[in-house]
Amino acid sequence: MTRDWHVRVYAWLARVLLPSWLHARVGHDLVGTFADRVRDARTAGERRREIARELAGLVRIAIASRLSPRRKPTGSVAIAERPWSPIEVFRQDLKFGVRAMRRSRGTAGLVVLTLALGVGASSAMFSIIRTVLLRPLPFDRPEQLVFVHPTLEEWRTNPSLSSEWQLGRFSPPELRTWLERQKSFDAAGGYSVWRARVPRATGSERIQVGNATSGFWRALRVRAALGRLPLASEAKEPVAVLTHAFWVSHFGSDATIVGKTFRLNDSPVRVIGVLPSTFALVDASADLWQPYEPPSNDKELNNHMLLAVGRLREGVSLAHAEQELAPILRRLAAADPKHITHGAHLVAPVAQATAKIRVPLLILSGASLVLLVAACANVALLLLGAGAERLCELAVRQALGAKKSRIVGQLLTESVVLGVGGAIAGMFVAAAVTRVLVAIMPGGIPRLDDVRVDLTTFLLASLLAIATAIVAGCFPALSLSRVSAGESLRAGATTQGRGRLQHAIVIAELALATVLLVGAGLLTRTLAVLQRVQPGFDPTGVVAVQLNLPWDRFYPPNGNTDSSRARAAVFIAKIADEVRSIPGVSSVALASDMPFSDDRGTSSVQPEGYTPAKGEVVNAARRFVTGAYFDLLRIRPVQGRVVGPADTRPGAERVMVVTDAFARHFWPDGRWLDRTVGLWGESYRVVGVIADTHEHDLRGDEDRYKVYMPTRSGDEAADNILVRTPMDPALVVPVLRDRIWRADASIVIEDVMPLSERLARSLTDDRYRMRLMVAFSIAAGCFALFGVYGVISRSVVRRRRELGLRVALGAPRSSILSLVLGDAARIAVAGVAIGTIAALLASRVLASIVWGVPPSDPVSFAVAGIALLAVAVIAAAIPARRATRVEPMIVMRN
Amino acid sequence: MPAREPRSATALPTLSYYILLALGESAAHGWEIIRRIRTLTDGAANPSSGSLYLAMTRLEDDGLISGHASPAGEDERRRYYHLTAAGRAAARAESQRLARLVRQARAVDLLQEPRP
Repeated sequence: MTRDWHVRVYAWLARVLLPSWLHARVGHDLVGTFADRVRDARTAGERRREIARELAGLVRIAIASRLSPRRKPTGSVAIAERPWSPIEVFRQDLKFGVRAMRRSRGTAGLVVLTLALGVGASSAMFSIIRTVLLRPLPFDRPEQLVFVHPTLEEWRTNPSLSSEWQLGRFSPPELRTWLERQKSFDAAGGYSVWRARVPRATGSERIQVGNATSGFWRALRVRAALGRLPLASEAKEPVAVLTHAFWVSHFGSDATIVGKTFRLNDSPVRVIGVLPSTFALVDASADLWQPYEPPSNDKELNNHMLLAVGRLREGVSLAHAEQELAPILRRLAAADPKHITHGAHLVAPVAQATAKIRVPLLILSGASLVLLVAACANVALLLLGAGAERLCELAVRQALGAKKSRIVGQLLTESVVLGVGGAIAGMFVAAAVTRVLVAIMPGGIPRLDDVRVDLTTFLLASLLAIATAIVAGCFPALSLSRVSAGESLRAGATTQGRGRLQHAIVIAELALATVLLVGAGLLTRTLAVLQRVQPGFDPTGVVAVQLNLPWDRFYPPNGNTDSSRARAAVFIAKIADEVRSIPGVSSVALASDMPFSDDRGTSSVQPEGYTPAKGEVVNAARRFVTGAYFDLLRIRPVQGRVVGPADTRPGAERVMVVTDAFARHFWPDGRWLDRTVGLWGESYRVVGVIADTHEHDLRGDEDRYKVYMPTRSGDEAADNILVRTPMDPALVVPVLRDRIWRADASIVIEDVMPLSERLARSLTDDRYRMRLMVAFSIAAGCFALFGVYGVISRSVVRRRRELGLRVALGAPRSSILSLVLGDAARIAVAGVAIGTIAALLASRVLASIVWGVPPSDPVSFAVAGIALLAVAVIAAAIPARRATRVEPMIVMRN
Repeated sequence: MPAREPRSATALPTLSYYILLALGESAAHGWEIIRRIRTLTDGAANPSSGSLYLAMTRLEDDGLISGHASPAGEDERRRYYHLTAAGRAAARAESQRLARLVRQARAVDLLQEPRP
């Protein structure tokens, strides 16, 4: 006998599954017969069928032989009645259930579909939550890891500061002192992420380079997957550790990479190791890491650039670590009067990285939970309806002597089959929905790539679905006990009680749909309002180019800063000229910060005559722009004038344009003209005020105070190019790229795109939430539609006699129609009313992502209410028409 | 799959009856019995090895069939089964019961009724 793999599998299964007495007795023959059978199969298809049949048979007898007690040999002819074994009963029930389902294919299909949608959508949402918000970081004992932020108490509450200021950073000397003196942490280190460039076939590519002290690696307890991590002594060496992703994408997973060199910012860097693929710091997405130690000769305390992470010592609390840090930094500050760091602010890593997305994600998953409940309600309705129709059949079975336990068992089996079917279909839906959600989710969410359908979540949702199916499916058994068989069999038996329950469920469904629909309405309105927000400039016809100049070339180490700036300015001017010569470009302007980009240059300013409150940090977003800037963006002064080309000439007076918010806040007396503002040790005369602009966020910038100054060769380089063209901006984009690279191939060009597209991109999050909520509410609306249809059509069937009687007594068909539609309308009004109250409560939760619309926005509520009333009437229309067609004679005769 | 017969006090489970019938002509081993049952029922019954052997252990326990070693030249650990006298009697009783039913069916003109 050839022992093929399937024979081996069968033999193994027989040994594992069968009770030992049975296996000892027939195991060998069983396997032999199986082998014969498979060998004799004529076609591959038949062979497959036979194997399947045999495996099923094996499982069946494995269960059957355990369930029915082992019978002793009697030695006599025993053809006495044998009670059915539970397995046989189950099989019978299953067979009957499948047959019954085939008869009412529509209901079964709808139940499975509804469950699949509910289970799928909610598992997908919760899988994302679990991965993004709840899963611990991929580090050893991640609960011990904290980020350390030295921050002024005043900063944390100052509304004029952006969130970056509230999560403060260390300056190099602060970090060095703290690392030397702290005792709360087993290990701690500082890091920062910078832009750098690597050459590509054409032009250059920008990458992120992380600089980390050796304590950083010790704190995270990371080991290199290949090679090693940098040592503290290597701080000045040109070496790098690659992240796994960068190693794969840029070096083709070269296993011999360690020791090789590549060019980073024009200079060679040696690879000493590769990080494991699991390494991912929540907020620092560097492509490679280089060693760094704060140099001991660096005394500049205000250069806050280093983030810090530490591993708390066993038993040390966050508060204790904070208390320890504060005096260390205060002592340093005492030595330098200009120094401004006190206290500390510690945050657990995951909480920090996900704080911004936590609320929207929780809201969306709440919505998906509502959808799951609505789906369960719908399933309950469908099964209750189907159960009512079967009441007669069950009564017949009972009358013929079926035990109640048998009938319940039958119903249970059917419900389980439906529930499990729904759950399995839900698995596919969950996988698909997860993939779609991840694909369309806006960027910047940590660990999104790791999201997989979470088994626990899926099982919980499935359990809820199956439980609903069981409860609703077995409901008819309840009325069997209450109603005698004869009563149920009598025609026209009322099922008033269940009718009420079904109404209640439909009302609940409508209420849930109302909540989701109101949510969708609020988010849609938010997006509409945001799209109408005037940013304070005209983005149409403008193309924005962010350059990343090879700064290292202009700023050689130990070089003269002023002459470096001058060289950079000449270089940029050359590129601007190149761009200006492109046909179809009507004007070109340069700016230090690009609207709707990551650029957020802010500086401390000294407005003349303004005395800051104690601890107040007077900050403003600063923009260095060329003379054409205001004209190009069509920004007009509300008072005074804007900066013009004349102001950028060498030797021209230093002037400044401020925003309305700035002028109002610092000079409430309105006498802003010719006052001066100090910035970086220079004094600027204010010549004009412009209306407030939105340059980062259409909801309103965090930095409301902005100042604009003409750029000159000594100032911060304005390396963003704005181009206005009367043509389609998209046509100019490729030419721009070409011309800039012609000027210098080492420039990294990022995100060349029409400015209006940048604006639209800033609304990605809002658009995503809106779409998801709309999808959820449409699904809930469909459930409500099915629900109302089912309940009304069943009530029409139930009331056929009554309706027939009315028609016979001369009721006009229109009154029958309004009778039925009135029923539906009553249900809908109740559902919408309850839903409105629930939505009013829920909209408070939504308030954080709704903008420009009051959470109790009457339009959203009205639209949701009207839509669902319409849904109810449409759903009732078909049964209502059927009701008007009731032929009194036929009904009465039956 | 054969429709399960209603169980009266004298009815044998269908599969058991098939097995007895199959062993009526001569002793056989598992695969041979399955093939005979298939021929017997025009392929309508096609029990899995598992079902077959579970039923056969019961028949053997009841003394209706008995297993013995395989003839020379075959896998010697494999068992052949044959009908016992009791088995023969049981098969005969069941066949008579069915025959009675068939006679009755013919009497009330139910035999011609086409069955899918």
